[in-house]
Amino acid sequence: MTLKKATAYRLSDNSKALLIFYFVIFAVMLSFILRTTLFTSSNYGTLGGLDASSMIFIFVVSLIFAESFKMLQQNGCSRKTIFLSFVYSTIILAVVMAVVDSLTAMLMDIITSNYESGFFQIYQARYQSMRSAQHFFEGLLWYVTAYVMMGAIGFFITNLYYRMGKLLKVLVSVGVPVFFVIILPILSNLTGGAIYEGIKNFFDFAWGFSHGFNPYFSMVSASIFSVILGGLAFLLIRRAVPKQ
Amino acid sequence: MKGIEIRNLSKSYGEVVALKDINLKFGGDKIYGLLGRNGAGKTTLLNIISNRLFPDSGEVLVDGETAIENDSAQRKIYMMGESNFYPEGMTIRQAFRWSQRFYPSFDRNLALSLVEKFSLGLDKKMKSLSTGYNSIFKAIVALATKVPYTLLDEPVLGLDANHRDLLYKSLLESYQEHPRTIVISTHLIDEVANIIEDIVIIDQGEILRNQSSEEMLKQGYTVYGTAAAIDNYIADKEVIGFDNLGGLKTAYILGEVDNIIPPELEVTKLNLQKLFVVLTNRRALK
Repeated sequence: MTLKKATAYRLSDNSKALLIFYFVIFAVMLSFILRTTLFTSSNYGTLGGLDASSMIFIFVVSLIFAESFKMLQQNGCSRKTIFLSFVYSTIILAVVMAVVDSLTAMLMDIITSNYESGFFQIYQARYQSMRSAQHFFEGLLWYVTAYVMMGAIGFFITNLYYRMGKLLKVLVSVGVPVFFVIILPILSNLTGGAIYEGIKNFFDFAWGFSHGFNPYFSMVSASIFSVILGGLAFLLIRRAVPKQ
Repeated sequence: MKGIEIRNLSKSYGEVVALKDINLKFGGDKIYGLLGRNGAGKTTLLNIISNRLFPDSGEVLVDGETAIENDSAQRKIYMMGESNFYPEGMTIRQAFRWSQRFYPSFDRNLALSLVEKFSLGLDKKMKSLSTGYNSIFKAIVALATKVPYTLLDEPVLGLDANHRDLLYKSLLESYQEHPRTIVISTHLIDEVANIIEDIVIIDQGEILRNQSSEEMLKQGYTVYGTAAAIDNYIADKEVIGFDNLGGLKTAYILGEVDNIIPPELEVTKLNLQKLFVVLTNRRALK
């Protein structure tokens, strides 16, 4: 009962941002349609990857944690309920956005041939066209798992920062970029590029690139990442206390 | 078992001990005064009951079930804390709507009538509220929620005298109409002295006193008269404090009232604040 209300609160909290987000996205798309189909026949290039914006959106809304956490605590929600409300609201948001993005991609392909979704750009070797049923349904599933994973990443990061002290925050904020920009290239050089090759192979496998661009590999990988990050986020939130 | 039961509760912040093996019960339709000096452990105790903080050891039971990480127990509690936990961009109207969803017992009509009494705008956002109006908003939700256990931590923070008076009246009206357990944690002891039925004094993380207001005030009395008459009367008494005004003097005395009181002296009830000060000071001196 409380979980249902907490989930409703989370969804309501995100709804205004979601409406603004799609208003901007549709405005961009509409201006693109007008430019390419109505006013001129000249080639303006292609528009694509707007679904990547959806990933960034769901990542960003998942980062906003402290306000919801306090509001739900004020209204008698346990941390377990708060965590589950984040999980459910993220999944619902991911499904809604996946449906909207899949339909939009198909519609854009019908209206203007100059649009390519991010999903199609990655996995186009597998599909004849963006209008095929296979593309639509596999794309839909792919979006859901990818969006949930982005939500899990955001939720994990925000929980991690919420639980850390000032010193640890600084160490992580500096340490992570230093690791990726300085230490990892050095280590990779020392191993004759084996580390980068290993990372590339891992992602090629995880995203299905090494298996004929099979999106199901990516869906399973994203789901596993989501479960791992969600589990870690739960460990962090279960002892969290509201901060002033 | 009905009520909030606190068993062997301890909590420390690093080296600082906030609560030391506390055993306590808040129950029945009563208004409790949770009194203590700054840093005595009042807020920590209320925060643990309302599941905002975790104890180091011990347990809190609400009607027999644990209060820690338990939605069904927490549904029976509304905690008005010193900080506002509502989102900054939320309006009063939206906050009422969500309170109604989370607490089905939320009395919207009462909330609206209190909003009018306190001249609080329904479309005001949390971030635009002054400290006083922040307290008023939180107190309105706390009173309108009508859950079995209402915890008020410094409910009159930032309120002017008129609003404080109005809030106490509203609290009593709400309590009379819908009796429940209300715990008020405050520094303004004199102001709540006439409202509270039971008193819990917490000091240095321990329960110093837990008794009815009446019993506590029976521990002594107040005498008032000319300075000379008072000085003469108190010679063999345990005096816990004085007030002087011109040639007149008030003495606060521990012990039973004498059978014979000099006619030039006036005897009244003991002052709760004076008693509180002497009890907590004595402990500090030990």
